[in-house]
Formats: sequence, structure tokens, C-alpha cells
Amino acid sequence: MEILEKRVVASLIFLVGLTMLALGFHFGQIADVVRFLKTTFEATTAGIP
Amino acid sequence: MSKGGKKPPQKIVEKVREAEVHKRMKFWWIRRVVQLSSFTLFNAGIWGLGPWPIILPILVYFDSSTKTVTGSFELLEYMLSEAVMPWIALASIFLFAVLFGRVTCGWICPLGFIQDMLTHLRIGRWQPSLRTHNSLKTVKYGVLLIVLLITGSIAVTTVSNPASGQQLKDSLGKVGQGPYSSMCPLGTLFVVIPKLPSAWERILPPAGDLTYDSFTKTLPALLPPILILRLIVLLAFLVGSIYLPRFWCLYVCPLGALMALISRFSFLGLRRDPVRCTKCRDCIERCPMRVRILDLPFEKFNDPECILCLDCRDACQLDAIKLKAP
Repeated sequence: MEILEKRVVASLIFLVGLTMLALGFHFGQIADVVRFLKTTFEATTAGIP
Repeated sequence: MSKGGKKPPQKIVEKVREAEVHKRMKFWWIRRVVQLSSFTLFNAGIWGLGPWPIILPILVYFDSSTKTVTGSFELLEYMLSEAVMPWIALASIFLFAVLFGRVTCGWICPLGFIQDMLTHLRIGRWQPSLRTHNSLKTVKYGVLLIVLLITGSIAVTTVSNPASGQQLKDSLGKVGQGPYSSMCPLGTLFVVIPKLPSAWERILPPAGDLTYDSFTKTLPALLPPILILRLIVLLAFLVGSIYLPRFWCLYVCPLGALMALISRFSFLGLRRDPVRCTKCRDCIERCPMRVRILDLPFEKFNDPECILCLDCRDACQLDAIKLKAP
């Protein structure tokens, strides 16, 4: 693949990423992230008897 | 100096001088400082800092009470298992990978830092053949597929029938919350093992009452199957990283697999100066990810495995490798 073609694909991926970010903000997922950080993540401690 | 005793052309002299100047500025120690700082900062909850709503495509499976940032992949697993479309986690992976390639793997990922430190022990070195290496590289895509299948099926079942979804999640136990997170060696090393003595103390009868029979009876509780599996994974990680640089990133890490799919189109890459390059192969021998730099186009290359650690740039005596953007 030529560099120019790669740049076009990269720009499209970048736009997809920005769209996902906008959707994340729209659905208030930043609050989910903070909540996720504050609550204990049980999978991390899986295996402790 | 040329064979005939003639003076070398001025252009070559200039290039060599320039290379000598560049040789003084090595990137490996800058990377170590960045890695150590990130490692400390991401676990700065110990000193009461954070948490901050920052999502990075790295693996940070510290105890959640001490970590300050979120890893994209653990968030992706968590959100899928909660039947939420992980837009924000995917956005972080897509944007970082397309803008900077896998630079986060090479410079700030705590798991990568631990691997680099283990490789520095220099106990031994194992170099699989190219064929074995290429076959093993596909394992991480398999791991990614399995993780997405498990979390995806929980999400789909929960959306279609919440009761069945919850039942499926409960049946999988803690693995249902994060199939990869529940096996991650970083979590085992920094969370599970430090907590084991106190957990075992609760289960074991007092020292005076401890008999062979009472010990064998409590053994399944002391070592549940998931713990044994985690310890085996941790052992494989430790041994693999000692003998092979970036063993986990190369062959197992599902986040690395996801990043590799996108980073081949990254704006940030490397370029090799065809005039300066003597094809000495120093860069290939130094590369921890075994990227075949000389087989890639010189004007710009973004190998999916390249973590932009710049070890190749440090290894090059003639300064033929440079960063290239876009």
C-alpha cells in the first residue's frame, strides 16, 4: 500500500475514533469511567480465596 | 579513511560528525525515565492522588484503590460485560493507535516496563526461528478473539434477555467481568500475591490445630483452580520475559493485537535513510519486537509490531533511522 493510501485510511480511522469519542461523551461514559475506577474491579482480584 | 590514503569526501565527513553528535543522545535512558515515571504515576493512588478520568491504551491492572488511570482494554471488557457499548474505550484505542502507533506500548505501559526490566537481568536469551516467531505472533489475535467472544456473548445475551445475561455472567464468575483481566500477570503480581498471606491466614486453622488432615481439607480453598491458572500464567510471563524481550507484547497481549491492527496506518512512523544505511543489521538485532526493518519501505514504515521504542535508532551508528510524521 502506498503512503498516500495509508494516509487516507489513517484519516478515516481518525474520524471513526473521533466519532466514537463524541458518542462516548454523548452517553456520559466519562462518569462511567470514574465510577469504574472508584469501584473495586473484582476481576483483578480473582483467585484470592 | 579511504584505502588509497585519499581524504574522504567532505559530505561523508559531515555525515559521520553528525552521527557522532546524535550518538550522544540515546533514547533508551529517556524511555526508562518515562517508563518509571508512568509506572509510579499510574499507581499514585497510594499517595492519595487521582483517580483521573484518563483512558490510555495500556495494561494497568493494579489494585483499583491505588490506580489513577484506566486501561482501555480493561474498560472495554468491563463495559461489554455490563452490556454497554464501550465507545470511549474504543475511541482511546483508535485515536492513540492512528496518531502515535504503539508508542504507548513502548513508552508508558507498566507491563512493558516490567518486561524490559526482566530482560535486563540477562540470564539467558531464547531466539525462536522466524517461522515459529511468525506462528506465535498470531496467538495474541486468538486471545483477543476469545476475550471478545466471551464479553460479547455476555453483552448480547444481557441486551436480549437481562436475566439470562446475568445468569451467564454469574456462571462465569469473576472471569465474566474480564476474561483477560482475571488472568493478567500484572494483577497476579501486584494484587493477588500480596493479598494471599492474609487470605490464607483466614482459611487455615490456628497453628496449634493444624494437622495433615485439616490441611488437605482446606487445600482446595487455599488454591482454587483460577489461582493455580493465574500463577501458571504469571510464571510463563516471568520466564518468557527473562528469555525473550517483550515476550508478552509479541505473543499474548490482546490490546497489542488490537493496536497492531490499526497502527499499521499510523501517522507516526519511522524512516530509513537509504544513503546512510549500510544494511549492517544492527537495528534488526537490537529490535525487541523483531521487526525486519530492512525489508520495509525506507521512506516510511509502520510495522504492526513496532512499538516505537527507538532502540533501532540508538543502535544505528550512522543515524539512518528517524521518526517520520505524518
